Amino acid sequence: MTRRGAVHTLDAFLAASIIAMALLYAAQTPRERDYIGEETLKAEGMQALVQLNGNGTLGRLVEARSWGELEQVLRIALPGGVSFNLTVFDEFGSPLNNVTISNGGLVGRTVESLEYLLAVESGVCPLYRVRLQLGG
Amino acid sequence: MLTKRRKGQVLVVAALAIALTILTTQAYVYELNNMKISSEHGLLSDYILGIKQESRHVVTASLVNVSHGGAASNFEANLERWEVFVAGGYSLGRCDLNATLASSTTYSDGIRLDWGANGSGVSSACADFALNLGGRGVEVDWGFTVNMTSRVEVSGSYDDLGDDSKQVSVSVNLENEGASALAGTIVLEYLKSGSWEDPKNLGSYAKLDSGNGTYRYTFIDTIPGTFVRVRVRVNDLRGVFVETETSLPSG
Repeated sequence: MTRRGAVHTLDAFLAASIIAMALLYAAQTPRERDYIGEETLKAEGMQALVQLNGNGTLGRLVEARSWGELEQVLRIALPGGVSFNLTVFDEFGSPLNNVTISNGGLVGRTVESLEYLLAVESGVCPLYRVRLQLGG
Repeated sequence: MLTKRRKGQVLVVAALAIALTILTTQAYVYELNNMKISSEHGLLSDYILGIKQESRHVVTASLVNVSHGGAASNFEANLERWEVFVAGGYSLGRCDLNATLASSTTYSDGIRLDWGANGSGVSSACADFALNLGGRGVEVDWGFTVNMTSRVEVSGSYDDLGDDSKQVSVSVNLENEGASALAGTIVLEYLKSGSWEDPKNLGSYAKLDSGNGTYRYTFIDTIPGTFVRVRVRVNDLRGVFVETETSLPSG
């Protein structure tokens, strides 16, 4: 009877050890919340802005205050299903666009914001800060 | 007896199943974290790429300004504005951008305007950048050079038609950073009796745009002398101005 009790105690100890080791190992790996959707939105937005201004298109549209055309270009550059709202600030932080540059307001489970610094290839070298809010 | 022994085995098997479930879940979470890190690196890479790209635009804008008669000091002033702008534009930590103007025998304060009389003209701006970015576990030290150069090459010859009448052929080639580039505007002129003339006013004038940065011109006029002096003034598509002169020999 005493031996059987000892075996049961060993079984329980072994089972507890297995779970404890699993928990210990799991605790060593980094645990973070899943922000993948948000990061992908940001990355896609940044990539779109970098590509748009590769040949200076974004800068020319901002410099010409062509907000409607800028909205159309962004609709093409950003993936379908992503909503956006763009605000352009001058070098001193004052907002420039007097109309909303958006494809219908920010909608989606996740809303993210990023900023892109813009230099225009014209004689006085205007600098702008572009804030792009994305929903998806 | 047998049932009681099996109870212990069931307990161990159940513990193994629970441990396996915990480890599988953790492995899944770990994979997701890896994807997140990869995505963050992509975002950071694009941000840095954006800084380099816009630094090129600042250098180009300065070259546009200086090549149209602006002060060479505008280049340094634009770079200083850009440095301050970048430092205030990074919300995730510290971002320092330091620009140094190229200084050599060919560059003065980062600018080279060599509009020679030998058929080759160069407008160039050059600066070295050092980007230091830190914060949120990220440390980036990166240096890059931006050299924006517009170069125009002019060559050609003339056929003597007698009595100082000459059929002139001119070839203009434009390059941006060593690669063929299209021109925004080209003004070709030739020297006749001490004044610069526009060959467009001649009925014999013809222009051929090859579409690859090479432009060919022909015209006929009475031009005294043993050579034909021509001048070409070009604005490339970026707005950078460059000009050159040369003497065309008899072909």
